[in-house]
Amino acid sequence: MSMTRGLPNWGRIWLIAMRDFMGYVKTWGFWLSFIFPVIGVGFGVLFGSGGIDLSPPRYETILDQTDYHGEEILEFYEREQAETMAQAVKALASFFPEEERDAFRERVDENGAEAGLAELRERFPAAADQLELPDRDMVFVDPPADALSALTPWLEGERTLQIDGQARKLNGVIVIRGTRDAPEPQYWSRNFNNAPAERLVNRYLRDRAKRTYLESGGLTAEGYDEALSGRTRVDVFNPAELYGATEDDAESVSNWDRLPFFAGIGLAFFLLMTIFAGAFTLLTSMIEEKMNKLLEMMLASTRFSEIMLGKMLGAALLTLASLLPYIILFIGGVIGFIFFGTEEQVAAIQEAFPPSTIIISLVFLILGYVFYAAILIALGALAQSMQDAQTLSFPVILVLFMGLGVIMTGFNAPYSGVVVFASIFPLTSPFAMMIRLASDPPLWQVLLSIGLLFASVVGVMWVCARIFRFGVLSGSGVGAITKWFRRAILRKAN
Amino acid sequence: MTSKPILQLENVSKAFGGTPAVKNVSFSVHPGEIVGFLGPNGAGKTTSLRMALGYVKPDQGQVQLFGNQPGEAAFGRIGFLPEERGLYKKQTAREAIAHMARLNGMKRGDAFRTADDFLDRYGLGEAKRKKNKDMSKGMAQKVQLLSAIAHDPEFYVLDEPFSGLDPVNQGVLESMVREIASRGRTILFSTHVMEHAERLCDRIILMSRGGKVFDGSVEEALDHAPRRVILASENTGLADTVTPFSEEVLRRDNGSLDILLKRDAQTPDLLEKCVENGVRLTRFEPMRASLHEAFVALVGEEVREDLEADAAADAAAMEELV
Repeated sequence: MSMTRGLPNWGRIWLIAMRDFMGYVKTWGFWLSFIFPVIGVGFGVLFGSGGIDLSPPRYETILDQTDYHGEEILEFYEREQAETMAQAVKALASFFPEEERDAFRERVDENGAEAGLAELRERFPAAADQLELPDRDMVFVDPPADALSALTPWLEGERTLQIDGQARKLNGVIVIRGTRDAPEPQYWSRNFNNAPAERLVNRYLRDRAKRTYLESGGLTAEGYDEALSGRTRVDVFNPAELYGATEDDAESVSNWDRLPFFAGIGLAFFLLMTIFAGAFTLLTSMIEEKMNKLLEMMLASTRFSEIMLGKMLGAALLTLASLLPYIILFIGGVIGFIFFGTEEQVAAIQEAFPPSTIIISLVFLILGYVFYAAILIALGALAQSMQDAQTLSFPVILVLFMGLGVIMTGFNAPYSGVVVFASIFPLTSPFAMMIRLASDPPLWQVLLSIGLLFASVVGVMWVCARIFRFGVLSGSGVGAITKWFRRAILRKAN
Repeated sequence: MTSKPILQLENVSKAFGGTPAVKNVSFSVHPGEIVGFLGPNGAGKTTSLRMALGYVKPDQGQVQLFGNQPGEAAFGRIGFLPEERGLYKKQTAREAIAHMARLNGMKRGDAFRTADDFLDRYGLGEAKRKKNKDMSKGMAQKVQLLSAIAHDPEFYVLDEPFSGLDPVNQGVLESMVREIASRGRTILFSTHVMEHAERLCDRIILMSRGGKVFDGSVEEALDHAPRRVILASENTGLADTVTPFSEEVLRRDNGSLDILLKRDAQTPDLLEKCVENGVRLTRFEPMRASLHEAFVALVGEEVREDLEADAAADAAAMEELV
């Protein structure tokens, strides 16, 4: 039949795509999801400027019957906090030129976090407002009562503490019974889902056990820690990289060297999200289409294949539009690094997104989307209700979760046999090959993967177009396929 | 007809799952004709129309549309209103009409201008920007028809266009069909309601159980219908006089006789015989045969049940609408 011959008319495909696209764009749901990042940023600014703390410190107290461990725990906590703050300030060394960074870190180790912060503020007054130490997660207060039973009203929230003139809830109490040598600590709180005080006591006890053991052998914990920090470390090299990773400068292989792998994962996740989002759009669109009963009328002026392609394009455009704020943020971030980043960062970005990777990723993105979209649109054409659609799409969703598994495996072991197979097997190749691209897979594997995926897309489109045609014209659902299977394959009478 | 047919089906058959839906059907539609495609539900009308448009490939036989195999060559030249029809609920009436017109090849501006013009012309001017979901069923069906015809096609294929419409809107639709026909367009419409075909068609094609049972003018079809005459007389002898002419004689409550004439019997001969026998007639009323009766006569009694079932379903649907 001539309906199946010739090239599709892109004008009609575009019209169908835009009808579907605008149908969703005009809904509240689309705009809510579209402006979600803006709302998120807005809340962030609001909380920041309004001094709203999303994770306020917890007020804790200690009832110590050993007259020893209470003080020791508080001192341990102070030492931990000082170390945490020092690490946070040392992380800001990137403000300095590269040759000054080590010296700054040493000064922070020597003089403490506050001194380091003061130095930063003095050197970089423009950024002074942003230079703050992170808040503590706990504030220890004197116990408002001497016995656990008497503390119950505070723990139950019936009574509150007065701190700087403000009422504060007592989050928990560390009770230490027993003796100095054999403490029996307990933690009492109504809020034990996330209990930093409990973890603090555990760390303190572990540290104490370590010290006791080392000292029994005439060693000190400080000496042990120093030996650990001064240990020899393995230098990491990647012969395929190269912005300066040489034997003389091994440190230049840093987290930035992992950017191509992260980029591959990001692209694979982007495809997965596009398919997931597009899947539901296509399914609901097909259900709507069957309920609206317009397809048969459209077929007098449009080919089946054009309707299918139009719907797939419409869903893809819708998904891209939904993700547009994130895409803009991502591109803005990349451009920001290119203009304002260090040489290493710019080189890493160029390494992560070379033209060949972008082109191959686009090929896999498009073929992968068309592959799954064709299947979903055919299933949508068979469905007569949302329940049908969910049941029919469940196996596809399972396969997509396989893709998720491949992404996770591929990140850790890009050369594993499973990942190499997955990068060639059409159901998973769009996800797996995107991850492997960072590891420079052999060209023949990339070409084989594209070839197989392309052939599969053609085959799937051919089969799905027939299922789509059947679903549209018959108006019947899954039952008709079952009957056909019984009749044509099993050769049984209906 | 000497002109080249717009649509031609030759010995076309189609089966679904081994069950024949259309059996060896041939017919053609010529330019300027209004052809009624009649038959009860399940007669094979929709499948035939789908094969005519190329939606479904026939198992056997040939289909030609505008001289070619059905398909892209006919895009934009056909206005098809399927039996199962609807609208995008969130579109407005003008958007719905313009969308279909654009799919049929019209430019965007022309499509919207035509949509506005059609809506004004057919009394829906105030509903232009109304969403389809907010329209009454009658309004929505008019918009559906306008969507199918806004691009002014050469050939209109309307599958059960009157179904679901109340009597008032059926009248409106009939006048729309007449207006289209007056512009010289060709129309093929399927229906199982014979009255519409009787009023509108130049030619009818009768389908039954997948096969074509008649193809010709309405008058030719009516020739196949049984002829009835109602007679009444003040004196005796009427029954004896009419018996030689009758296939069947029914006596009504008021005493008149309802006579089903034999195939070769003529009403003037019957009248003459009555005069000759001194039967003084108080009533002599030849009944006009209906297409429905002609159809039953053509297809046999077994199809009468199908038709009666359709009629009962229509009556129930109409009760809901009115």
